[in-house]
Amino acid sequence: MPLPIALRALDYSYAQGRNAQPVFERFEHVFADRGSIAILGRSGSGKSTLLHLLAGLDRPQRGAIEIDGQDLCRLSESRLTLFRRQRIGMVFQFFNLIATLSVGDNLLLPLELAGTPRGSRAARVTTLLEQVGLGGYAGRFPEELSGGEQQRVAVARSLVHSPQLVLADEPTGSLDAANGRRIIELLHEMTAEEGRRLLLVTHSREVASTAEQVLVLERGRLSDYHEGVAW
Amino acid sequence: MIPLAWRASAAGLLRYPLQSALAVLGLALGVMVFVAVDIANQGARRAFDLSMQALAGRATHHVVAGPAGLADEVYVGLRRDLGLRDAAPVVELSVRYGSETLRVLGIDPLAERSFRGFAAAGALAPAVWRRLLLEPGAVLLAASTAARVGVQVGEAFEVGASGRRHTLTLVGLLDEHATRGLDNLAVTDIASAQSLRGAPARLTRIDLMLAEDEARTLEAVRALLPPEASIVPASARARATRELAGAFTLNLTAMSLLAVVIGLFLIYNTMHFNVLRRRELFGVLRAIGVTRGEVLRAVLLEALLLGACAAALGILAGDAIAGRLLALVGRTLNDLYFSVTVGEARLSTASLMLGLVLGVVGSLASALVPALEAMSVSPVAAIARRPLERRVGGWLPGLALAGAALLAGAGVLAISSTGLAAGFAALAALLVGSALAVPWLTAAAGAALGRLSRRGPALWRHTLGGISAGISRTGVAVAALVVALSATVGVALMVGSFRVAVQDWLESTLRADIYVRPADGFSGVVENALDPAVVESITGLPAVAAVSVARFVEIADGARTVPLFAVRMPDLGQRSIRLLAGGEAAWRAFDTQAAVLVSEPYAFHNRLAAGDTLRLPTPRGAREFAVAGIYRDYGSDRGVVMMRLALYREYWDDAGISSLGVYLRPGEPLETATASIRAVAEGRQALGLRANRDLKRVSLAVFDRTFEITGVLRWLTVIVAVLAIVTSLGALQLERSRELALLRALGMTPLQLALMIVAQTVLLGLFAGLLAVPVGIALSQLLIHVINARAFGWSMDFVLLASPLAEALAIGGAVALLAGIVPAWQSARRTPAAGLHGE
Repeated sequence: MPLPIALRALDYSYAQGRNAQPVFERFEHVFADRGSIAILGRSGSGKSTLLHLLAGLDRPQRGAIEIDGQDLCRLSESRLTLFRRQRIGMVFQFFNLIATLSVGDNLLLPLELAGTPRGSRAARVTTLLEQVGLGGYAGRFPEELSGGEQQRVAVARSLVHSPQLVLADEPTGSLDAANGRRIIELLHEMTAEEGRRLLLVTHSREVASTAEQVLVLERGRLSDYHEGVAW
Repeated sequence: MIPLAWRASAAGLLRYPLQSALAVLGLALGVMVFVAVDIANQGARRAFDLSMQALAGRATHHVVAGPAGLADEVYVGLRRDLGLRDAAPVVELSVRYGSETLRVLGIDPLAERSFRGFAAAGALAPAVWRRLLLEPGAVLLAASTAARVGVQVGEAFEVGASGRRHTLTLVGLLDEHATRGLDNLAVTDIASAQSLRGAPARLTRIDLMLAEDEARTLEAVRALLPPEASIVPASARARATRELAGAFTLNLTAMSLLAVVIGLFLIYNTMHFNVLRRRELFGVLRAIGVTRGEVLRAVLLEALLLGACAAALGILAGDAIAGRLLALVGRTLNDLYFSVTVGEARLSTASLMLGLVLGVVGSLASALVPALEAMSVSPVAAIARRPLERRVGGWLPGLALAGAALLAGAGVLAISSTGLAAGFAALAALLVGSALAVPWLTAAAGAALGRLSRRGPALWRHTLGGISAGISRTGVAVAALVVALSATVGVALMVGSFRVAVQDWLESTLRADIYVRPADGFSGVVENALDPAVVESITGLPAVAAVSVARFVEIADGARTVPLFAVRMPDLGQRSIRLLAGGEAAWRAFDTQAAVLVSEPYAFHNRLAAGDTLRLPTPRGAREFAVAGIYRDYGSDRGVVMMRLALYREYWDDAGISSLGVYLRPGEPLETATASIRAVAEGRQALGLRANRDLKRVSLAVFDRTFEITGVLRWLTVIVAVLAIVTSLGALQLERSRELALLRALGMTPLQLALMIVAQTVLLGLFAGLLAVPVGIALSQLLIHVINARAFGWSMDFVLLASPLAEALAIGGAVALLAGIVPAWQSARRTPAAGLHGE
């Protein structure tokens, strides 16, 4: 059963007071309880902000973000962190690997934070790296990898602690078409395998079309909604 | 660069106003310290010059003589036999009034008028002159002095001289302008001054105003003078006196420059930070046609603006605090060198220009490397941070090698040359060499810690790896902190070793139980003498086992004076003075021959060694004395010549005794003996008595006071270094904001993040503290064995004290903690989304 996600009467604006720039006003949406989700929109449509709100990286001024029945807006900062640590994995446009840590350590870090037993960590890292086609890369550093390889590591890192929801922010934005396709395939395959839910944000119709639900955002409003990969 | 592009570039500075403001503040503090020291040194020099001017007036030459001064007849002879009309007799002495020391200048009102400003025609009413001439004890004071000591015109007041009370009457006020720099001056008639001095018919000196074709007159004057007297140019005498404090003021200037150097680290850091943040912008600007030269000029212009702001602020602040520093400098000069009343601290054009040049040129020089870095940004693509770190990493071994070469150079300079300038160059080479080696050492330590934690949690590895990851920034910050902390350690170890040496010296030298001088003798008034009858009574007291007898005098030798300490020590089977050269034979020569011992600084300044001869003017003509040995003495950095009392009396007609050291019989209570000594002097002479313990305490208090200004400068330097590390580490965390947001996104709690940042900065601080220990010890060796020895002529043993070392570690850790707390708090408070938006 995929993780239920609902957004209720969300108000969010950048800055406050007279300089406030509203992004969402009374935004409402309940995601259908099935499959992967893509949020499609142009720059400034609010798609990345929505992803940050869903990840608990930012808070709306008003409204509720319910994931698995839990309103993130009501959680304290530490509870929110724990929620993210255990249940959410993230992939970014610019990979965001930690340059001072090796590939293996980049994957170990979420396991350590989530308190995964020490004995099972190494095996999990090896498995994930093999799954993304980078077996034997554990000792390398991010700067020694190509962009596509770095993003594959990032995908592995987002899944290593077995989160229920994987959020990907323009995961193909920094890659060429072939590498981009490979990453999208990986994300779908690996989330589907363990029954996780994937939510990706993109400006590419091609990438969005790979998801089972597609929300089209325009200036903070839902302008279109489709279901089914065939869209 | 075209204005719009320039504006785009300059906006980077304003984007982080706190960072820029802290850099300006740091350099401003450095400039402040330098300017304040310069103003204080100049103020003290000006006060000294003014006081010399007020005392010497328009005199071109002085006739001076030995401790007994000149007989009246010499003056009479000059006027009568040579027909010198422009000659004025002078008697100088110090007297005590309450807690004040007044400098009494005895003049002849009839001969005086053309000499000194305060005695010029019209400066005083004829009635005042008449009273000064006719009334015994009539004096003139400056209005401010009279107000300070609370005496009104017409009022009589009692002063102490040679332990005897004298009544003076204030008959008029001196012109303030003519007595600037001498607000403790009391002018009286020559006869009154001679009476105060207890030396009738004797003069301290004779002032002369000679015309330009003076050669023949000089010859004629010389022919008329007694053997111990000489004629010296007034300017040479003033210069010789002023030069006494030359090494002291030079040391202060060197220390103030250190604060500026640390301030320059700050400007370098800020400019480097701003260039790094704008690499992409510079790349874009270059791509649209901005030339390399325009980029270079833009960055240098920013540095120029920062430097100018810092210099302006520093000069204003320096001017504001100079008054306090001047008071400290003045007190040290008074304690150690000459009597001077420091007045107002005034910012001179020279200090202003120096501060401005230091701030602006220093800022430009320190921004040059970042500016060249900005210039080299590829227009094709803005290079990411990592390649820069790698390039910096590539420079580190080269920098460390250059540092090692400088350290070797410091050693060579310290050993091979004997000049003070070479000593300071060695000091600079040591500090710069260490600073250059620090980034490589920091990176190596970070890497070593990383290897050590290989089996530890990834978070630890990340925490430790972060230390060397941002080496282009952390290296400079740690270097700035190492320089400041090692200066703190070095100076503290030097002062500590010096204090231990002075303590040991006091312990071994001050052996008598009670020291006796005339009542004013412990207040800087040394020319007074004990009543011989009182001395005899004290010596005969049943509680007294033995006495040492001493006479302190200044022998005029041309333009300079030679401090002479004539002494008769009791035979206690053990000498209290430690000889550094000459051995046991020196004591035999001292006791039986025409030989002297000279103190270490005296030997150093006059290039004397055991076995040399010292020529001194005496009333019997110039005489040569064998230098039998050199002894340790920390009492004066001018140095002292020590002579057997009997030998002194043989050549100088002076039976005066300046002080007695009283040795009590075993078991005699100190209080009873003190009371007995006071009782025998009662009604004859007021005595100043100091128990052995008290004299040591007071001597150490003067020592501590001397280094107070050093302490103030030391702490100001540390404050500049604190700013350097706070801005550097703050900048580092700013640069890492995306990475920190990512860690939060991965599930790190705000507390974990804050602890990680604080741990990194504290480790850096502790590392800086650790590095500062060996550098500080090396610095103290240079200060003790090179600078102190070459500036003052003192030698001493190095004492490794634990407290300065612990202090360096504690300051390093605390400073870094302080530097880490703000960014830790900011990073923990910031929403991760805000950090990731930075993408």
